[in-house]
Amino acid sequence: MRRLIDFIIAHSSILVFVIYVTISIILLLRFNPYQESVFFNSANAVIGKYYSIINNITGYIGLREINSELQQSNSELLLQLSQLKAEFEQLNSEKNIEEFSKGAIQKNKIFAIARPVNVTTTNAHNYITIDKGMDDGVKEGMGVVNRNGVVGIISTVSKNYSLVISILNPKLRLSCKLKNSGYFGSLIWDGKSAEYAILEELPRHVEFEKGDTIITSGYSSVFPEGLMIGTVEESSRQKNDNFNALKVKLSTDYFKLGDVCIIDNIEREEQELLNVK
Amino acid sequence: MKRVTVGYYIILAFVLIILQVTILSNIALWGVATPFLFLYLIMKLPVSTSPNIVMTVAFAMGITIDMFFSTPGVYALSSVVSAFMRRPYITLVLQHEDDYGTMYPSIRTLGTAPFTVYTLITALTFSSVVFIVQSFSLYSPLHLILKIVTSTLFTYIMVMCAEYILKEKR
Repeated sequence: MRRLIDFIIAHSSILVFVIYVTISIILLLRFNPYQESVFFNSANAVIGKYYSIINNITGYIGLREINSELQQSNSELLLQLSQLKAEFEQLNSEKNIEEFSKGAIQKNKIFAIARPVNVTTTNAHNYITIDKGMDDGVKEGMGVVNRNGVVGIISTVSKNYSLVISILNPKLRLSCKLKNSGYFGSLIWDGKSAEYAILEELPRHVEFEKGDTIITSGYSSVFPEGLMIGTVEESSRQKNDNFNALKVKLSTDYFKLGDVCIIDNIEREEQELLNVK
Repeated sequence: MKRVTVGYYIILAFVLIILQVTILSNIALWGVATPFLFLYLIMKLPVSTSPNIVMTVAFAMGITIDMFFSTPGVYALSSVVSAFMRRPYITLVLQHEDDYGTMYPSIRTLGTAPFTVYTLITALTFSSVVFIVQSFSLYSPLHLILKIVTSTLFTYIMVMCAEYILKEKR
């Protein structure tokens, strides 16, 4: 017994090392943003507060560009609105269309406007912390978009902050399609650049050109159909012979994110229930 | 040589963590190189410090930084491994072992070349573990090696800067 204690004391550093490594690995493996408590991530109150303060200071940087982008998207939207109005007038004679469009609009609604207090782009798994939480009615699984397109999905919610899995995180797979042809694939980040992601599982015969628009497919319950994702940059690596992969230039600029919108699909629970069955 | 107090290390730890989470970890020079300056504290603890204390300090700093980045375990694991390797590394670069007990590692006590080696291998250990752990889900060996090597060099440069800045003040 005595020799055992002596042995342990003599090699205590190895023992301590093993203990710490075990704790780290348990944390590493257990961490699943959908289940984990908020203690160990940046939605935690203290760290959320810290990021808010830092963001108050740094939030002014880049306002000019955000403003001009806003104006640009605003004018584009106005243009679209006028076009849609014209189309609507045209189609209004067919009565059904009116009810149809009403339903589609009500299905998804902008739930809240939030400000990102921390955005990472350089890690292998990137998250965004935003300043709306449980008190504002935010729930896990809601979608997050900004003026340029899709940003991510809410993963963990604390009282006043939420953690968003951004597209720049291999844990997020997003169903997307080519706007022109309607063929769909799934978008995943390859961990390299914050400006690009890969659209995988696209049938090989699909034709595309550089600059083609990629939008959400609407097959998931999180995002409605037609939200902007990005544009095709080039054909990327091919995993096997039947599928093509495209390198997509993301329309969302994570380096100057600005305010984001949380969107909620009011039929989400119903859709998910159906998927489980 | 003046004795460095525990208070000094606490302030240093605080400053380094703030720097690391606010600025340094968000840097990725050419998309790959990230400096891990907070290792500086682990490197600078007195040589006589028990490995258990070094590892505890490293684990605490690692887990704190992890909390900021929602990456529990990544930084903690890497800094504990670096801390564990500290004693062998110091033994490796130490030239005169008689004042082993009282000194703490710096350019002055170790000499420029040994301190460089010490910094580089510590940074290399840390970067390797961090990036290998992170790359479990996205495997691309060339990118991984590039990240490890550039981050090691960047960390080395930052540590050398810190070393020169803090030398004057003491």
